[in-house]
Amino acid sequence: MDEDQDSMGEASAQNQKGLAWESWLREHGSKLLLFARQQTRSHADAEDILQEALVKLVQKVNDGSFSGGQEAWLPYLYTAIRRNAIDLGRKVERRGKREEKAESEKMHDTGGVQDPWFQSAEAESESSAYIEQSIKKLPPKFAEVITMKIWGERTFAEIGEALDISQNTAASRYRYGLAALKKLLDDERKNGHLAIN
Amino acid sequence: MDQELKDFEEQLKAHSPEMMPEDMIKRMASAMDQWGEGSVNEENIIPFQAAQKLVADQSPQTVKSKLRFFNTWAQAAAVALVAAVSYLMLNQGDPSASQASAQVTTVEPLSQQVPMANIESAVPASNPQQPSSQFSSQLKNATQDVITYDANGRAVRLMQVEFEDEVIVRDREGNPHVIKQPRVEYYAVPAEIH
Repeated sequence: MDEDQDSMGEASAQNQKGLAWESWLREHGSKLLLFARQQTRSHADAEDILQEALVKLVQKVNDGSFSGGQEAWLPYLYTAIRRNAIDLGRKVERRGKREEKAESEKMHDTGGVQDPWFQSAEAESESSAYIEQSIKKLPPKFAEVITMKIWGERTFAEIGEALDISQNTAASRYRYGLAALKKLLDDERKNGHLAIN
Repeated sequence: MDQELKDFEEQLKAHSPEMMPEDMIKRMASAMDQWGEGSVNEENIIPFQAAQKLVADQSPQTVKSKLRFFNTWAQAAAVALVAAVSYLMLNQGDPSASQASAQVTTVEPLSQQVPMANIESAVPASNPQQPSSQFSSQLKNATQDVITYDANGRAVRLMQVEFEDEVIVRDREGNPHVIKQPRVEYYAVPAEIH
């Protein structure tokens, strides 16, 4: 009887913890997933590196080696996602090129609506798709700063720490990147593709 | 940053990242739960019963290989047994033979034929009712003082190795008799000539 109560209590605690993680992921998961997608060549790789980063966080929090409170989770995760993406890129160079080709073919076949990066109403779906394509055309060092600053809501200090650059460099890359992205989208707007002014 | 870029920044912020799909949330949360508690996925544990079954399946082969090994020793033991039987038969009824049962007995190499009928009354050394390891061989000495040349003109060092084979046999009363027989073998080892 006591054993049953103990196991039920343990299961209940586990369930509560699982629900807590789900709740946290519903709030923050989208911005982390966007960054993971920006860092990788495929949706599957993005999910892999994000999960890896989340698991590492949980392990560190549980074994007491994580320094900082819950407010430090997101900065840690951005750093971990980027590190995992770099490791993955080194390991799967050739596979990545094949998957990149497959991804671009899939995007062509579905009109770019498969696994979109951004939420959008039907009228704005094309704008979102062009923003996504333009970010992908940017040099990675600009794209990652923009993604972290605008949709990740990170400070330049946190961006600098995650990307191992100075705060000033992060701010500089952000300005140059934003200008480059605007130019790309201006060209699309001139062609009548964008709702952005 | 100029106002134009600030306005552009606000327009980009209006496009929110796509929500994480519900199934992905559950997968991620499940992975975080599992790894966070340090639990092990039991599906990945392969029970040892499979390994034990594999060993059991292989046992006939192991027995077979042991039998092959046994046959070699059985042949050697049979030779020693014949020598021992001949000794016992020749010394049957001799009081001094029972007194020597606890002593080491050296037997000369077999030099005469032993009638097969006499063997039937002897207890074999490999009697399963008796302790095993009835036959053994010990290295007594080794020398390598001679250098010669083989048919191809290569220098080889001749090693003379002396063994002492030992066999334990039992007479009709069950008394053990240890029989030792010397054996000399020669080995040719390639020699390095400077």
